[in-house]
Amino acid sequence: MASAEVITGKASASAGSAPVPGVPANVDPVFYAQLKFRRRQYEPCIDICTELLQRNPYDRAVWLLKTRALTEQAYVDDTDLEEQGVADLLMDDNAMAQAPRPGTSINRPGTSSARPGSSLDPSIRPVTASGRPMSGFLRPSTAATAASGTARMRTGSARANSAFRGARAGSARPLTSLGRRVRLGTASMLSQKGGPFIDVQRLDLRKYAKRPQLAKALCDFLLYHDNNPRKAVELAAAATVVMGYSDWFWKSRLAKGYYMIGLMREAERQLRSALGHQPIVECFLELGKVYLRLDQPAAALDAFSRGAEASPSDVSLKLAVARTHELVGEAQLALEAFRRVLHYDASSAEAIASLAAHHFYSDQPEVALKHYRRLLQMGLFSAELWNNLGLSCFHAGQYDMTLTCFDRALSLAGDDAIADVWHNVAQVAVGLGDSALAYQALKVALAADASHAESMINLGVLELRRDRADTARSLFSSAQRLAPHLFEAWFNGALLSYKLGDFQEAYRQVSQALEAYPGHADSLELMKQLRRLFTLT
Amino acid sequence: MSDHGAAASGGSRRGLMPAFEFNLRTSVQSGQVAVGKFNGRHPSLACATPGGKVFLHSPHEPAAAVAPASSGEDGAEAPATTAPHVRFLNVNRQVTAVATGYMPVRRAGEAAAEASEPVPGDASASRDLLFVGTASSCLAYDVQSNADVFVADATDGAAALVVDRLPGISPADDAATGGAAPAVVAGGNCSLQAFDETGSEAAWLVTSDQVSAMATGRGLGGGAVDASSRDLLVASEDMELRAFRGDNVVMEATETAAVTGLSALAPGSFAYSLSNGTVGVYRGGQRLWRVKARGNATACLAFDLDADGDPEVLSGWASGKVEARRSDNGALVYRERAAAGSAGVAGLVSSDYRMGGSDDQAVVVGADGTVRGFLPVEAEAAAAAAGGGSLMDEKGADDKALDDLQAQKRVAELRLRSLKASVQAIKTGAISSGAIPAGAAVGVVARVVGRPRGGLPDPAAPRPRLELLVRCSARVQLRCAVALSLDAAVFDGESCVAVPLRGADAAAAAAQRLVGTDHDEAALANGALCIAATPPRNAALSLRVKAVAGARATADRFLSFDIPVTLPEFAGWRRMREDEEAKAVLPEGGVAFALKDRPERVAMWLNRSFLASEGPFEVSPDTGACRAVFVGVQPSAETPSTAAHNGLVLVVEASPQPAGGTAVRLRCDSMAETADVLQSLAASMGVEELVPRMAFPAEMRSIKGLLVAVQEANTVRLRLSADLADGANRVKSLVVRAEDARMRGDIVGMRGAYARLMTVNGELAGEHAKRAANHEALMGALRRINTAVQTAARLRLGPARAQLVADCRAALKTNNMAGMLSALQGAA
Repeated sequence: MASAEVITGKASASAGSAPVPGVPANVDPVFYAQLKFRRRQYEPCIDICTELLQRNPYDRAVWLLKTRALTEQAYVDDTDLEEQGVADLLMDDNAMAQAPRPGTSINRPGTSSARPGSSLDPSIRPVTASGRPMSGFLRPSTAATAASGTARMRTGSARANSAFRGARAGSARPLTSLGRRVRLGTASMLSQKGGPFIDVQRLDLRKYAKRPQLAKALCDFLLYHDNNPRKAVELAAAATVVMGYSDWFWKSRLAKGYYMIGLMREAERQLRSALGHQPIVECFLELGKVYLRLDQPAAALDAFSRGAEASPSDVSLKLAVARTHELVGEAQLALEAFRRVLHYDASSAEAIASLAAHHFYSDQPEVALKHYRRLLQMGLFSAELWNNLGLSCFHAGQYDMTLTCFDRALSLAGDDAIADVWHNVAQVAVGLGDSALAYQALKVALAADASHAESMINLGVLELRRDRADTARSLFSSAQRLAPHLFEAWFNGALLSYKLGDFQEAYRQVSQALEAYPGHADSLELMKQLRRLFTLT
Repeated sequence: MSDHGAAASGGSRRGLMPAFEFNLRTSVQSGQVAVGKFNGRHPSLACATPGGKVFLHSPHEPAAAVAPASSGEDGAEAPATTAPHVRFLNVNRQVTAVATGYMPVRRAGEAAAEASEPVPGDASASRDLLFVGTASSCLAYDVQSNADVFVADATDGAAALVVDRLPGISPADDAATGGAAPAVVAGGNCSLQAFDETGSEAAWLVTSDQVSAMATGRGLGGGAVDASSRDLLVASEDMELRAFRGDNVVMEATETAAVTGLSALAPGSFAYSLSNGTVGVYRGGQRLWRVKARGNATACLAFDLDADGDPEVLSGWASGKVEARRSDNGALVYRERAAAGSAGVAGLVSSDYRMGGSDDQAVVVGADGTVRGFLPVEAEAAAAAAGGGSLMDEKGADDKALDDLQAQKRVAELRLRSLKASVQAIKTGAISSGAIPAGAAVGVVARVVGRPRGGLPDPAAPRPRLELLVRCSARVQLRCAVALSLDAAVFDGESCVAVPLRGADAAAAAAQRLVGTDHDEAALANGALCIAATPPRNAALSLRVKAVAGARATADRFLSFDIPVTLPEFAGWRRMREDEEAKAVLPEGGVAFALKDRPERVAMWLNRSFLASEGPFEVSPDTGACRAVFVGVQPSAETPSTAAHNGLVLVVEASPQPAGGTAVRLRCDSMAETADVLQSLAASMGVEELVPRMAFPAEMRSIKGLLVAVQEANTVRLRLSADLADGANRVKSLVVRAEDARMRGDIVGMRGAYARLMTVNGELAGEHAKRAANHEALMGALRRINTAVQTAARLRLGPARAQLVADCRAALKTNNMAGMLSALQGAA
């Protein structure tokens, strides 16, 4: 941030005499542009800089300011794990172990969380569209790595289908994660008047590498605005050489570039080397991110914890630790980590939401309610929050508030959340014994999102109660097709087949249920009965 | 050769008992097999497969802990378990080495004391790590927790890995054990890199050529063995064996082919196997025995199969054969012949793989994934079997002596019989006078012939070359002579046969004969035979010449002579006469140093180490100095030779100093040759510490060029790898796009996507070729730089040597070209 201010003196001298549009009279235009930059009003800042650069294309101070303004405009905080693209999911072989031990991988969420009694137990906590336990806070990473759920999904077009589906209803996944970056930072796609500001292909990067201030701004510009990691890597490599291999900044940028290109091992090496010079929080976060992409949560945890040792009061590292524990399915450790986060930052929405979810699913809706109310006090106002409040109220016995909360949730909900809200309304209706309302709510949920598998299952159950076995059966089977990781669909289907006397079909489905959730007691019981039947006859 | 054990026990299976066999149905790269206890308790096999993958076979881990295996594999073969228990690890690069070993893993938040040493009884604390070497890095991976421990940059590659506590190489351990902390040593292109548990470089050593195998053990280099010392044994592709104790080379030996396996036996000895089918044992730095057979020995392992405390040498072969030999005399104890069509042995490891109890099994891993386990025979069983007399070690010493005498007797009887027959034949007149005169003798002289013209000989001139002249006494004629060299490739192959030429051939040969070697003609006219030799390096060689002589060329009774010939260290150098010297271009580089001894000692050394075919070296009476100019022999262009001293000029000057002692100057443009001469001279004078003044302008120039080339190649490599990754990303997205189009039924779009995919694929292939060429160039330059560092180190004796290597490494790491050059020349 400091580099923009350093050269003010020199810049003002070069300002022209003619008035620049948008700048008040008697105000130095460069100073004014800097003021706009510091107020984060990037658009006017860029306009002034463009004007100044037209008058004097060799004014480096203005050039630097414009570069930084453009970068800041397109900046995305990328220390979180981002959503992986379809191609990365289908063709990714970065993970070291193809079949890691349970609890050591984020790609096999079901393995250790299946421990009965934990709040991540799939019979207690619902799973997301990608088969992971629902977390309290929506993160791109919780939706990632959908394809590697069960063995059945790992092969064939079922896998491709699930990979194409986005994390949110009705959205598609980007092709590659680099493709997603381009989509996020559309800045590089915008046509600019007079051609692009910096024509990277024509730059002599080695020349820039020798001017550290300009080079740093240019590198970030390449990474965030242009989304051109190749050029950024080239620049950073040249600059590292100029700095005598001892500048953490260039190594971390090199790593960022490598990460974007997909060269995980190189990124890892650069980050480790950068951390050797100086323990920087950002580098620890990036290193952990690299390990998560390599599917080595233990190494990621190690990186985060070492970072937390180096800077004990940093919240982002502690949050990362907590997230990683949750990804692996260590509910208890994640809980403790989130509590530590709250100790340092009492208004961390992610920590509060995660704790609330945990308490809700471990049968303490009152505590969850307190957490959600805290979020409400902090100013959060979203369909998801009202929905959760409604559910917590219902389970805590505060029936008067429940429907009001859902009302608000429905009025706020967009396309991606509305089906979930209606599904929850149906839940409440079932709890109240109002099966007609439940039936209607589920129908609305399915109308809002035709692929909402949970609603299908519940609707199937309701149809069964109305003695419409065929409808129920078709609902179950479409839920099974849409969400093979939901054991409920398989178990309900199996139970129905069993009752109808189709033991073979029941056996097939209950096996699938057990594959999705090996510890499900009812499925095990059904399986036992089926086996006894088969052996007797 | 010494197959006398085969008859006794070849067919029986008393030495090793097959214990288990199963097939993993995965091909295994040769030599890249290791076994380790990754969870601290259960042994697992780790092997590298082609395609950048490492698989782990862990039959003992609880089934729940091992993930369901990928589809298409049913574990019918696995003996004790139902699941195949094979897991794959993606390395995504060509794996060049696999090793396992214990190394403390320091995770954040753990108490340092707890992590530093394995607690006895706590299995999870002493678990092994998996080390994977690739062409550019060394990866340490914690299998149990699925986490990298470190990825270290190994610019010279990691063709062999070994994990051990090596004093002087590994970092010192602060814990109570007092010894060294474990380190992983990666042997690459002319260099060895040691990494500590954080992946930082603990030591860097130079060796010659690409490292092909490594082993560690106590006292491998010979000499006094103290309890804490451990030597690092390194074999490189130029057939050299070196033992490092700390950063000093304590033993050097030259083998006859690339070493494929090394294994430490009892303290002070080790076994080795060569790609030309030789298996042998060194003890105390000297070769104890060796046995050569046809085929390619791919691995060797020390394994005590008769429980006598003295491990046997187990060797695996490319044909799939496994054999065991006694470590003290090489007698064959056991041989398991390969079944028809079976793949070669990829690796041998010993481990209690069945977890049956105390006995380790020898585990033989085939290149096709076949795993065979062999149990050593029980001690009692061995004793019982001794009654049958089939086990070699049960044979008493008396029996052995009797055997030897019997053999001698048979030879003597044969000779007597043949003499009797020939006497009989002469008496009866069947042969006229083929009898060999009593005083017949054959002698062999090694000499260098050929005269160079002016330092750099012009191609038309006869090249100086080394010859073995086989002469015989006056009344016999040589029929044929065979020269054998088992140590080094003096000839093209192991031997060379010479027969006298007759008639027109002889005349043609005489016409081609060298000009100016007048006494040659006389000798050759007498029927002497001439065998051309090219010593590959400056080392003393012992050859055997077997000559067959008869009374006449057409005689049918011959006498064979077996003459041992020893070539001095510098047999490949010919002394120049003074008239030649005047014309020669003298070298500009060289070293200068002072010795305590008189110049006469230098002359004595010259006489010992060089062929004095032009008369002995002497100190000139008036100046008291000794001077000799040599030119390196140059084999004819058609004989392939790796000898580096082709046509080089070497000047040795020793002049007395007024204050006593000798000032020695060695002048030669090649650093390597100078180093050889210096080492030999220093060894004969008993000098232990020497830092000469040196200047090699020509070599320094080329090294400077190499350093620039390395820098450029490195920059290009960065860009190329980024381009490659970018291309891979485009391929991925195009594949998905095409698949998307196919699912939508958009055939036109699909075709477009596939067409573009093909273009991108072609580009990628091109990029890859570029990258491969770049890598090749980089490796070549690095190898030459490392060799230069090693040679420069050999120009010093004592502590200055290690210092030079360390200085060079520091300069290389920081890319400091000037520092590198000054470190090489010792200008610090």
